Amino acid sequence: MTSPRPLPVLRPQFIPGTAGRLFVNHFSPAEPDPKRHAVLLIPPFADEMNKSRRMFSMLARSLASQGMDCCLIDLYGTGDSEGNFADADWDIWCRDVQIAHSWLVQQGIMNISLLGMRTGALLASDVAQRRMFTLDKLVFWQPVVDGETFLNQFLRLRLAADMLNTKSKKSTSESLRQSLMRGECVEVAGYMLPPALAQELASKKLVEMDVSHLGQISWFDVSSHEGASLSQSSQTVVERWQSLGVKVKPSVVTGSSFWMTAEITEVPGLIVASTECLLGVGG
Amino acid sequence: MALIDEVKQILADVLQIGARVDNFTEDTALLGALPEFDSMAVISIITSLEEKYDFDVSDDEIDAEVFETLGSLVSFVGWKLQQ
Repeated sequence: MTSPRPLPVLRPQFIPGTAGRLFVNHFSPAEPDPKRHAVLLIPPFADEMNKSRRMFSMLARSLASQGMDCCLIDLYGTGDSEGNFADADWDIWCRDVQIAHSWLVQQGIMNISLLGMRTGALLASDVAQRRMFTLDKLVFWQPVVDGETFLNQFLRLRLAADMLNTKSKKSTSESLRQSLMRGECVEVAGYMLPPALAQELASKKLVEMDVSHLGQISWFDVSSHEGASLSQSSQTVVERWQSLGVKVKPSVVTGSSFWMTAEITEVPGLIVASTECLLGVGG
Repeated sequence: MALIDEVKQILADVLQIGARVDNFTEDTALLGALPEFDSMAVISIITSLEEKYDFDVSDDEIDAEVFETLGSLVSFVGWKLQQ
């Protein structure tokens, strides 16, 4: 038995961002590790971000109680940061991540890792390949491997909503894509999706990201089936990266798809595995 | 496992309704009857079915009739598996 450690301090605050102020939740350890290391958490897209909030908070508390700083950023136009979703932009998001990184450096923290969830993994990889700063570790939670497939699944939400609302005119993925091509925002599940962001997102493929300079990438997929192997789409990227010399270590954690379940769910195994990985214990 | 039980398992996972699903029969109404059955749930169910059975659901197949009852959803999955 170890004595209970003092609780981490949560410091919610606004920092100046690329296009507007960014809201960050900084989980600061009561007893910082002499190493002064931190992880920057990059959230997933739209409602998946809300569903993942609890798991991010659990991870941050787990890490901070063991001496690691943790920073959860709301990207521009999302959460409590300034801007509307209709103004959100991929390049602004990339620069916001860089700004949050610099902000952590200003706090005296030099070893910084990125953890990206779903589309946040695409964003984290895109930031990493711009090589604006050195990264300690890169960690993925259920990464979206293909932005275009993800966008199609997101647009489908609108089809399902139209199906539930018998009075509304039925859209098709094709008609929604045409609206985006014409430069119009498309409303999906209460989010005004801007055309430029949709286009940027659809162009991102994990397999095309140049991340060979990174020391180690830890890839966590979540499956409800015990003993499941990596999904085929994940496996393809992992194999391609390994053939290019990228040091990527995949694993599958058993649990529910907490980023899309109707109720907020927890996957404790993912917190344990990610904490070990980020603190660098257990290999 | 019978197809209906597999579909019930997916509903239990996605809708987080646990053991309530045990009492579901072919005639159990889904759409408009279960408060958990919103647009997000419909898409999560479709995505889960696609992943589990490795088929693609096209836009025009996302139809209210499919999600009317457990029986209609199971028939749809059975039909997709024969395509």
